[in-house]
Amino acid sequence: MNDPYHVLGVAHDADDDTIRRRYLELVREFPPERHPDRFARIRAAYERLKDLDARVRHRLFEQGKRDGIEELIEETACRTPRRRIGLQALLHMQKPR
Amino acid sequence: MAKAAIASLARRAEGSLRAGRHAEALQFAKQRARDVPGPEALDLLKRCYLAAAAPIVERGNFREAHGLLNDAEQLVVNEPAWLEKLAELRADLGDHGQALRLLEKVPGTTARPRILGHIVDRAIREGPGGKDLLPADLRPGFELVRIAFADYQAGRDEPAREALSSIGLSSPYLEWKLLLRGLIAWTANDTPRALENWSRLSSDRLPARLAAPFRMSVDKSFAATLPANRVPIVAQQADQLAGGMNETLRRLRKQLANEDMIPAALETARVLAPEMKRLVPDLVPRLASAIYWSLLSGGQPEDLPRYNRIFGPPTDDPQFYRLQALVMEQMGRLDMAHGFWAKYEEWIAKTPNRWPGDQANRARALVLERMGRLARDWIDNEGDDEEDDFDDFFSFFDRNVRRGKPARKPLKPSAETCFQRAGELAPDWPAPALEMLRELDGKPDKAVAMTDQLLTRFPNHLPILEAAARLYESLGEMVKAHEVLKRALAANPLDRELRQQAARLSLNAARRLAETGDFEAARAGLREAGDLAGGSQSLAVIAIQAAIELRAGDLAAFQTHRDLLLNAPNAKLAGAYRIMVEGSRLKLKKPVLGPYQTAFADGLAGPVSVSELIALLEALDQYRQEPVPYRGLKTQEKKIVERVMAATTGDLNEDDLVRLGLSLKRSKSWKALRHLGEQAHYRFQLNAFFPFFMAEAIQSKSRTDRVNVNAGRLYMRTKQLIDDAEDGHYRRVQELLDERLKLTPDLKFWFHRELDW
Repeated sequence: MNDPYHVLGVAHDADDDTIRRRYLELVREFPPERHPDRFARIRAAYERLKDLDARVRHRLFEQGKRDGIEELIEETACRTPRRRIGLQALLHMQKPR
Repeated sequence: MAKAAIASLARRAEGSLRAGRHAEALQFAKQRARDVPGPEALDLLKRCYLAAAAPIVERGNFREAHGLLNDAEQLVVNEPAWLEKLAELRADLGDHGQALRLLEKVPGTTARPRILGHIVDRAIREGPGGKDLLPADLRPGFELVRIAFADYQAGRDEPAREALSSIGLSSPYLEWKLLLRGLIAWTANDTPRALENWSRLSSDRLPARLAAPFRMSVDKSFAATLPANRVPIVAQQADQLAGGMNETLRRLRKQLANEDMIPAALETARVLAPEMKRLVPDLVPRLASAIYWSLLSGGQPEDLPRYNRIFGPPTDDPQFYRLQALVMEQMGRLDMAHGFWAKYEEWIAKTPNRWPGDQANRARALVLERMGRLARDWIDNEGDDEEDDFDDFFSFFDRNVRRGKPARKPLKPSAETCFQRAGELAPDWPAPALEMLRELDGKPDKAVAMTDQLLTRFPNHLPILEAAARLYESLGEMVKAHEVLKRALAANPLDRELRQQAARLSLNAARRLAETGDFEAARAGLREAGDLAGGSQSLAVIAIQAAIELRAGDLAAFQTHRDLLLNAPNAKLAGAYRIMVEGSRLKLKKPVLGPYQTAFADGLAGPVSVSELIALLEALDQYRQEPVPYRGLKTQEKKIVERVMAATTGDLNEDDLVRLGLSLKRSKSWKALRHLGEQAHYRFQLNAFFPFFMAEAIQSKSRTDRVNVNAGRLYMRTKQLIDDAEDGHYRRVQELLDERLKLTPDLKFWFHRELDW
């Protein structure tokens, strides 16, 4: 998920203080030495929302730009019902085409 | 038989094995074993039998496999591993009787469970009739597996689990139990549990192969554990497995990757969107976003209403003004981009409720500031028609916008108005004010008034302090410029550029003081310049010091400094040039300066090393950067550049050409740099530096932050050469390219294009 509001867990109308407070909370919860990947995501999200200028720039020029189909494929794969495949169909899939 | 012939047979057998021609390999191996029996021949023969039998068994060609295995069993070998392997192939063939008989020849074998596993795999693969292939004691397990699968398929997970519960840890059906338990967990979206079950499967058994596409669909790292030739097959099975929405999304991904397939992608999205709205409604806006941004690189005007019909108007850009503005910017159609941004700014102004807090004003300010830069670039670009040679690159919206060359009238609202309005909407944001200052170039009174006002509003803003220093310096107000730079330095003491700029001002001040006869104050100014430049021994400082001492009449001090200057490595020519310039600035008489003028002229006319030329270019660069140029700079610059260009047409080696090119780039001698790039690229076509030098020289002519088309192609060539070279070979040019990318983000657009070189 690339939405920085989602990563930080703040509302779209959150102000500088709220965003900074939330960022510091998350940094305490996910310090870089123990959660490097998560920390990097939090840091990147904060950079995109840290002040009015960054937030508006994000909204005008970045919002949704990083949403790729790849992420949608992964997410739908996790969330949509998975088909039950019978033994015969499974074996059939193994046959060379 | 001759030794050579025997060796040749062995070699040919091995070669055929490696090439996958197993039957041929077997023939060679048989012949060799007949001619020269022995352990080596037997080993080769066994390997050839196994290699030939495996694919025939896999294909299920019973008669052929049976015959081949019968032959193999005739070899008088009582090696357990050989017999076990034969038993495994018999089991895979469905011949459990012979498999078990072969195992009986191996007392105390531990392979029995494995072979039984292969027997049951084979039976299950045969379907209901496979039961007859099994010995009686394995038949109940066969039934249990089939019942459990039938329950699972019908959605009865609990009875399926119960059926599996009687399969024990030592049962040959254990792998089937793990497979099915994994499938039950997978269907319930319990991916970790599914993966846990499947991770315990043996890779040589059928259940592991059946689980592979499931594992690949949820575990990215799984592909790395498969043999390379299996990866595409399993990936295809995973796609087949995904079915429905996921399969459609995969198709959409492929279409969006191809700019020509955007209409097809929209059609796919039209079919997909209702299903997503039903099953995963919160993902629909993300799909819409992905399509929206893909229109930027490959869309056509007729795609916009199509998009609207599928997703409705985009929340932040319902009329697609922003999208069209961005497209026009990409195409270099700044006038049209400006127009679309103006409409977008109006739309934001009309919809303040959509923008929380002060976002609406800031968004309008950002758009207006962008419009201001476009309006300025539009005028600055006039006459820059090189792009017209490359119409084929700009096919996007082609028929609508490229029908004739538009006249370059100033855009409305003008750059000045845009920056002014942006500043009013966002008074705490210095960017529009800075742009406005740039706009006031040539209007010194207005610029000074605005600078004074800006310094009050943003007293510690580095870009404003730098801009103010530049302005004061250009107007000759050195004291004010110096004061502003000191403020900037106090806030950023480690900024190298600032220190150099301040050092230059101190040098100028010292010169002025020397002209008035205040030599002590001039010496103090020089010390300050030396400290700022990071060492009092910089050549620029020494040269001025020498000239000041000469003017002050202290010949001994002059000679000390002169010797320091002329004896510096490779600096003889540059030293003579510096003394000549500094002396003439302090109005020293011709007889005093004559020897240095002669040394400089003779030096240029004679042979000069690359290092000496580099030192000379550094000196020239310093004088060019000074706010008040000395008389004769242009003439001497011309001579120096001509000398450098003459050197580049000679037979300099590749490394020297690179060093000289880097120096020319530093000193912004673009004409010479382009000349060097062209000459050197012709000689060393795989060197990434030379197209880069040409590109930089061409790009230097552009007064906008967009990439000139010719330069873009050369930057791409540079990138290709870097990518083709060994890692790290072109680290320096990669760094320079990264710097260019930072200065001109538009370059990214070029790196994403496929050009045919």
